[in-house]
Amino acid sequence: MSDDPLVERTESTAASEGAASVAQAANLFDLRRIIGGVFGVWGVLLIILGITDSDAEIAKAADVNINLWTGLGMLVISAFFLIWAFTRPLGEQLAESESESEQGGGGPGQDVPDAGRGDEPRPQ
Amino acid sequence: MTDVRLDTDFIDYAILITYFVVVLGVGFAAKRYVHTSLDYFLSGRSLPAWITGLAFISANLGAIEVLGMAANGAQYGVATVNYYWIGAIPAMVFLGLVMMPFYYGSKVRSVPEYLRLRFNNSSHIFNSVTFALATILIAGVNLYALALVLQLMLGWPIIVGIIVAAFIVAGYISLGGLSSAIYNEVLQFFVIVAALLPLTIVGLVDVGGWNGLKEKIGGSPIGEAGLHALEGTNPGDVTNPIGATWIGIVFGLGFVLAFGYWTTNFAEVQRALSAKDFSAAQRTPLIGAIPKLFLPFILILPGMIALVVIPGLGGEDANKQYNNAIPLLVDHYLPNGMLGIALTGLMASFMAGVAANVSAFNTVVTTDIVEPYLKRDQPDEWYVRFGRIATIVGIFVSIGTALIASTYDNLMNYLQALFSIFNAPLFATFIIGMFWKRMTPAAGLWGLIAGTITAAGLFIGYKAGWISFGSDLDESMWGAGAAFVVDAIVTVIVTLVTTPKPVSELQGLVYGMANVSAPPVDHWWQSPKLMGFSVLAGAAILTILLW
Repeated sequence: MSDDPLVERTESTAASEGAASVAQAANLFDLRRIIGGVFGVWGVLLIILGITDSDAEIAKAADVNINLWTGLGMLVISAFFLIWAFTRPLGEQLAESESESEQGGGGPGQDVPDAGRGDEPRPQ
Repeated sequence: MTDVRLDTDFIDYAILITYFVVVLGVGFAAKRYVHTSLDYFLSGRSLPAWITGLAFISANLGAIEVLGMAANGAQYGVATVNYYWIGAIPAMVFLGLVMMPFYYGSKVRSVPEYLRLRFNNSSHIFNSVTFALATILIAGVNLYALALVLQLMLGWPIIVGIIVAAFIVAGYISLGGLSSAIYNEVLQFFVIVAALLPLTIVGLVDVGGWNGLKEKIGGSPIGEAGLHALEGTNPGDVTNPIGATWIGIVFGLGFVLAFGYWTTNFAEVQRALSAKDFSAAQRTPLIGAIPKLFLPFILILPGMIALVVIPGLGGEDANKQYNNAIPLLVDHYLPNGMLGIALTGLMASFMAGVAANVSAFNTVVTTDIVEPYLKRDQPDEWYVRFGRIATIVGIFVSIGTALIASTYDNLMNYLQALFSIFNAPLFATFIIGMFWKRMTPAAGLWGLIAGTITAAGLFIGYKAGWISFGSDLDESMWGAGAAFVVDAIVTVIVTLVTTPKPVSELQGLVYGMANVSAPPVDHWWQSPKLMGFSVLAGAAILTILLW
């Protein structure tokens, strides 16, 4: 049934994009940097709050300085994502996986194109 | 009425605003820097399996899950874990290992589209219409939950909350395309964990750890029976607060409801369909299953803690209904700062829940109903414009369905009832259609219709008081089971008297004729079979520990 017109017309490809701009945009939208950044800012904020919290506020949370501990935890998560993102930039990974798939990386009998998996840009 | 108004200050709002700035920033940046194809490229093809896997689990981690599972934790106790280890993990593993080859290999864009290829147009239309209806009802549940929390925490009247939330979501959907939808889901996952994990820890410290909680639950309304996952569920002698037998739990919840939901719900399956290759598509639900193993600890435990620390939970006071367990705990424990994180986590989860369903609605309406049957061969812009209108209409209808949801005091049970009607028969049709080449197109249609009517009839009968069940949940389990069985029987009978499709037309759609064979993986630990069976073993061990 692969000759179905409704299925075929969803195929699209990004192959025409310049590799450099792909890498740049990929890094800009690297989710690991976004998570790392947001959690870093929130983590620092919570640590400051935790240090300055009054005894009454700590007593409210069953005597746990929850702002401080959550802040520290968030900083750890943030560091994890940032280190991961900067040691393995997405732009590089994309370039690698491109060259792999050009060398015929697909399994035997895999006649399914990589692009166009069920996602034409959704009408919004 | 108890006042649950949060004592928010500017720091909490600053945290909430940071989140929305980041989310909208991603949307704007995507619009400015990325061309259509590249936008697509980044949202789909370049995403590694960990992102699609987390998006897969996040798409399900909406209001219903967060408020509903805590509500169930307070109402049923430990038995709520059955929704996870029996009622989700096996189905997710099955989707990854067994069904993904047919979905991915047949190149379909949506779940209803599989029915069009495997059976015929009429079963496709029937499923597309019921799916569109189901998503809009579910979007209403999320919208209502959002309004509920706005009322509870910030003091807005429910109807104002529903309308304002609807407008925010309409803006949110039109700004963020596919990339920001998936990005939001993953970001949302981490924010929810950051909100609920500290809340659970504080609660556990307060009640004296797990042992202290067990002791206090023993003296609560659900008592000692509320500390077991499966004990007290023998037919004829049900003492477990969940009010269902183990047969209902294993077959109704674990098999029919769970498999129906996880393997045929388009909003879920689409995450896997958009993975970069077959291996990543297979691993998407398996990676999602790993956090699913541990989510009960931050969703159900807060409900149980709320039961012992919030006096009168589940009683007459409308502000103390079970659905409010988490907001009440947040108010009880969290100081400014963490309060902002919790508020942000809840808002993010609910808005994403509405957004996911409304956009699934407009996708199915546009590409599965209007494009093939009503308005063929229009320019692409025409469909995009139609999709926008469908979004707005969908949100307005959701406001109406939110009011239906507001009549249920346990949102999770309402949702399970919806799944029993819409997903359980679909699963029967899928599973038989995938494994039995002889199944005819007519059987595809009539099986679905018979199953849907059965579950809907039981639901209406239960609501009208004609038929009685142990609990709301018990009704959905039996409804799902009956829908599945009726669908299967009708399917077999109709198949025997009608003509099947020629086998040549079933390439890629049925068992033994899949278009993809297992590709080699880069590392041994990426093997889908190994991942799948490890997660299953984990679920079994956890269930036995809490037996």
